[in-house]
Amino acid sequence: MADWPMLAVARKDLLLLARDRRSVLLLLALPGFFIAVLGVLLGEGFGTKADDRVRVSLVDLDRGTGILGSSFARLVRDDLLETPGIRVELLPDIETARRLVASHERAAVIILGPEFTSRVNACSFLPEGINPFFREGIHLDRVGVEVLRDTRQIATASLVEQVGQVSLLRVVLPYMIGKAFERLSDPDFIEILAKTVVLPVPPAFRPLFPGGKVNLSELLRLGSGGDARLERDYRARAGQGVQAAISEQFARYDLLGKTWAALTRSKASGTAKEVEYADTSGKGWLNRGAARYQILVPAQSVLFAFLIVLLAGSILVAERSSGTLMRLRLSPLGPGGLAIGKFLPVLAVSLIQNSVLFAAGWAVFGMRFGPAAWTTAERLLVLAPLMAGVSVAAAGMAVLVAALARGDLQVALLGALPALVGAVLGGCVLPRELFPESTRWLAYLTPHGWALNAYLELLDPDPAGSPDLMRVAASCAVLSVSGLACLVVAWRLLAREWRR
Amino acid sequence: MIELDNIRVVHGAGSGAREAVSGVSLTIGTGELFGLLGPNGAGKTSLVSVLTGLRAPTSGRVILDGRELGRDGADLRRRIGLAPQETALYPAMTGSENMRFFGSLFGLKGPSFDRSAMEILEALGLAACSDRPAGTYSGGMLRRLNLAVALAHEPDILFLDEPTVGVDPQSRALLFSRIRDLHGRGRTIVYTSHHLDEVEALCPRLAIMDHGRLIACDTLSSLLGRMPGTIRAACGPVPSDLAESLAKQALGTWTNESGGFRLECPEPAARAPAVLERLIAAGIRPASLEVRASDLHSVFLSLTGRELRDG
Repeated sequence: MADWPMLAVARKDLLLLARDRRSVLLLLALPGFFIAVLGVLLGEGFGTKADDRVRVSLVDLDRGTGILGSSFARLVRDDLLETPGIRVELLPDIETARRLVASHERAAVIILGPEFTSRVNACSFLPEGINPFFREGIHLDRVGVEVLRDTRQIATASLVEQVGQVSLLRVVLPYMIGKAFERLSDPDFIEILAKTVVLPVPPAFRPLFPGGKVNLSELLRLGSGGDARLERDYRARAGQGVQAAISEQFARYDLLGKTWAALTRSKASGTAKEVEYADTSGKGWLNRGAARYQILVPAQSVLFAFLIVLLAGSILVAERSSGTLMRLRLSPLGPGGLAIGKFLPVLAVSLIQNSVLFAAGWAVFGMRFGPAAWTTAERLLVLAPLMAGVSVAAAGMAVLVAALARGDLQVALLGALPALVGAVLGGCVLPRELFPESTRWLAYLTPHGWALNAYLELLDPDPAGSPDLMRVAASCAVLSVSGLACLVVAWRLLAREWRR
Repeated sequence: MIELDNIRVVHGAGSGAREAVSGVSLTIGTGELFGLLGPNGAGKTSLVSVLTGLRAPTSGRVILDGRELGRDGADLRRRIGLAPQETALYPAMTGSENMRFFGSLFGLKGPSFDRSAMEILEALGLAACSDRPAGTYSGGMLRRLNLAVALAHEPDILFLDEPTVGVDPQSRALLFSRIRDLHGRGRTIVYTSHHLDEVEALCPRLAIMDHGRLIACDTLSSLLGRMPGTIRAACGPVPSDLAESLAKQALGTWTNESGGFRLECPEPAARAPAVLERLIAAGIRPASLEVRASDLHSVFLSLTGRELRDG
């Protein structure tokens, strides 16, 4: 095998490339540099599916117990989840909330303080209770709620606050109504009611009530015949009667319910889930560990893998212009040997470039490979064939361009154009989500699209996700077949040139 | 033996087609040092491409030792070495590495090949700089390395296409000496050049091409013999009857010039003593007598009607 002339050509090209230190540096460092620049400049949402809903971020510090066995903060969170058009994000602590607002990453954060439940419990229509209402809604400070606002995003902050206000109203108001309605059977209330309801006495009973008037309290006492226990019972019945009457009158509402759902007899879907806050912005000036690197590293590695086309093209053009190709043609190498001899070094360079990029992605940019549950060996076992597939596709395309091009300009046009157009359509330059639905299928016409699909499957930003390995395998197959097909076409083209 | 049978090479197609070689037929013997002479654009390089199998002729055949040089003549290719007009080398690789790489294409490697490669480099005066990148070589050194690489796989047929372009006199002398040495060892060498003096100095047999056509192919002496030499004297007037007699005797043409005469005749060196003798006998003592044999320049001029110049 060592005597195969194609291996001599491959070794020679690798030697020449290794001696061209500037090219080596550009091949390996440039993609890393691009990733770093984009990683620093791009926002946290880069490459993730766009979510147009208003994000309401909150911190739940409430440790109290309100109704239904949970805190009122929990009820507010549940209410927000049921609010259409918003997504709820739960931040772990107030420090995180302050940092995110200070760094303008969140327009506003609602803090449900530790006293929230106890304060809501104290809310009442009674004079001694907390009255949380004012014209705009709820006095946040009276119920232990705080809103952190980014002064640069006043409009969004107001929107978030208004959403919070509505939810607070939907929690506090039914609770206060329910509590008030319960008071209808309370002895104190009946006492007030009994003293307040004063009726005229018919003439036949005026001897019993010389003033000509009687209140409800006196009537109940009279009815009980002085039996204190019986009198209390009558009072309770009066309260229940009032409650029943009001309930019947307002039959469409459960005035005792204390929750919005119970009060309005509406049903919550219960399907929406809040999102636990995860810091996807990364650490340090490079934003190490940011979710965007899960997209940037594979995207840039695919982009630069196919830009290697220019390298192979220019090497063969140089062979043509210097006359060394003539010498190669005079040797027993043959067109197939030359095609493979040119294919192998590009394949090797692409594999090295990919490996260096992904190693840098892991070590420098803090990206993750595959689900958290996978072992290192499993990750490499899946990643290696994919890298090989991408490299085979890139090397095949490179040799095809090299076989077609007759000068540097042709290399640039035949090589860079498909490489860049493929990168754009494939989603390496802009996230594919930004493209109209109707044009996204175009990605499947490019090796870039197949490569990126598979990488994104493996490098899903969600560490708990499980990749579809069949999809990865299909991409590997498509990439390998396209690369080998290009190699065969290049072989045929060189053979035609040989015979001319 | 290399036989060319009515070779025709056309570049391009349609209205832009240009005939580079027009029906060339010739034979180059085994072990011959054969010159291919012609101005730039005469079709020499196209013919060399056909001879080496780099391109197929538009029509005609090349027969190498009885076998047609076709598309798949890998074994025949092993016998051919080419030092092309360009210095077809890798500048980033050293002289030794270039030798080793081109040798490895022919399956040659190991210490014995390294030794023989070093011998070739040594013979061409490149051993001392064999570990330097070829990109640092002078023009003359590159030409020598170009030849060395062509010899790496020890071909028995060697094509040298304008091997002295941009070469200093010292390197040229070294190249000539090495070419003669290779010829002495029985290699068949086809030496292509537009330098008359080089071909004249090296090649016992040659072909002259112009505008894609073969206009002469013969030994150097035969070609030179076709053209008259010159006997030129500075003397007083020569009587016309003597001039006529001398011209007849020398089978030449007499021309009176101011202060002397010019006699164009075959083999002027052989005839000059007799001419001088008769002049003295007639009482005419020339102040000087210049004898000039015919050369390729005059041969080319007479065959093509124009001077051989670059371009």
